[in-house]
Amino acid sequence: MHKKATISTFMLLAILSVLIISFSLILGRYSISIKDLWLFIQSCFNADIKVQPQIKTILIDIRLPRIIAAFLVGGTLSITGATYQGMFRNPMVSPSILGVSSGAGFGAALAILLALSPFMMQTLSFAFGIGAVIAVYAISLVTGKKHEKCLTLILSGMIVATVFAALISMLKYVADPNDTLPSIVYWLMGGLSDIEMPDLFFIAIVSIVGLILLSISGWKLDMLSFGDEEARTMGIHVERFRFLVISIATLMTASAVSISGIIGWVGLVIPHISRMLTGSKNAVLLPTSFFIGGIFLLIVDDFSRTVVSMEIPLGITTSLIGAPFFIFILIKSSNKH
Amino acid sequence: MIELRELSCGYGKKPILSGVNLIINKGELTCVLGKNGSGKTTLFKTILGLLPSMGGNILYDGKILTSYSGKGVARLISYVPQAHGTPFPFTVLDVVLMGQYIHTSGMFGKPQRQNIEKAIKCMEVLGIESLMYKNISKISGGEKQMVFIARAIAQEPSFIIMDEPTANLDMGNSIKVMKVAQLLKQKGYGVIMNTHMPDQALQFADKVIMLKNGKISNIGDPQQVLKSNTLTDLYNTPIEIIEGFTSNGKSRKLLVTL
Repeated sequence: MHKKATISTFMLLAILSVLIISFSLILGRYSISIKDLWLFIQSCFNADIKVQPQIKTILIDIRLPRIIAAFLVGGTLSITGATYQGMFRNPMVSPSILGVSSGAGFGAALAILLALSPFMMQTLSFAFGIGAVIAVYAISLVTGKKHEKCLTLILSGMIVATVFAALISMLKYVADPNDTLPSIVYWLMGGLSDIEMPDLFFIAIVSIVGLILLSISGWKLDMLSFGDEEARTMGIHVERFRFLVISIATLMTASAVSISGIIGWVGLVIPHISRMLTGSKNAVLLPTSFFIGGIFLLIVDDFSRTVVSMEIPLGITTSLIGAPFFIFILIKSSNKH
Repeated sequence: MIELRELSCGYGKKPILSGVNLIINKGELTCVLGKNGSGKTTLFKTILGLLPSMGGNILYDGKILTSYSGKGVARLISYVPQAHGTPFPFTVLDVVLMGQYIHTSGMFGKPQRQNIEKAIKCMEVLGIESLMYKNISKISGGEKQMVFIARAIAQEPSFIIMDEPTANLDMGNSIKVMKVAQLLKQKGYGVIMNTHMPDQALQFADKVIMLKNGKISNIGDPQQVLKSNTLTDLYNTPIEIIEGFTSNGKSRKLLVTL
């Protein structure tokens, strides 16, 4: 992709992001017009302009945190998915390949069972997400021969994910079916309904720093997608670089999952859509995936919270909207070739 | 100069090759021959530092090669692997440009204009600049091999190791690759390759190494080493070398099986 085309893609994505964020702000059960939103934006810069207090509360305390969360979670899952697809040389890989989602799910379920505070739930979920990947890495170090590193990592990921899935089932089995069990099930389906501004502080920092670090690692990731041996003969310190990438991606995914629950599909599909748009160069692909993923999850979340009176869990909607969309994209790309 | 002293190499605990003593010079085309599983690729991977040696030393201009960093080795020796590829559709220019990674600065490296210019020059050497913006997965096997040779040149090394560069190629493309290997040798690179076609060694190589039973069984000038008896012994099948003449009267040696 040429430089000019890259710049115009990013410009387009930035404009699209602003439009969809604005649209999401006026969307909801309490009707807020574009005029109200414009007045509110003006009031942020000009103290003389007054806005109805309930509009201000709805925009700042209810809708904005959720919109930021949807954008960051979607972006984070997509960029980490694209990163892992490049690193593992496999377009079928998702961000949860190294067990982070299962670990995070267990942490959250445990916190729900122990009736801990929402903050503690996020912390436990984050910690177990990281812990699961550390376990995967440790298992791969013990079991893996040097030349089969990627395969042993994926297999270790499957082992750890299976163990955590069993542990989650065990927690569900002992949970109170009237109270805690529905909470656990609902959390595992993913959703952003209880998000508040302070919850976003951590993920905002992690995802933005991660976005920058992964994007500038793009060229090295390109080389890694030719396999460990080729990358090494081109001068890449494969072990060190892979450890760095896994660490960044794990921190990002764990911070996202800990506030959103398990949202599948986004991290698998969005990188494909982005690749069709911008090509395979990770330096361009990764930031593109972040923005497209953010926009996608925001649209899906808008749909989840508005289409019926009861909110639909995000994990369900991402799959229901994502699957046909992916079929459409595949048909379109196969026609093109 | 690359020097192997009493080198043992292999996977796991049992060496595939042992007691390898060898000198490889710049400006020479060295051809390694041997049956499947004789240790040709293992030897290459050990020289490249992809496999740890199981004994002995590899020296580069008198300095032990393991004392070089990964980037250091990449500046000295580049590699054209046997099976290469990525599931992702990179352009030819992107792939060749990767060879320039070791010549960029910073922890993450970022290709600059001069790196791109150098990558294009490497493509021009091989006459593949017209493929520059083509998708690597959409070009032919012969073209792909040229792209990976261009990437190896882009590393600006002293030595280029090619692992069976003519495997899976048709006759025309095989000859093309061998002529490129000869061109690179003339440009001063030390080219080390292996092949299952001893004819190629006979026609193009400056030095031939035969591997058998975990050792170097023969080494030297192809005209001296490639004889009916040595080849018969190497491949366990009767092979004769006959002499023929081309239409312009040049004498050529040919290998025939009986």
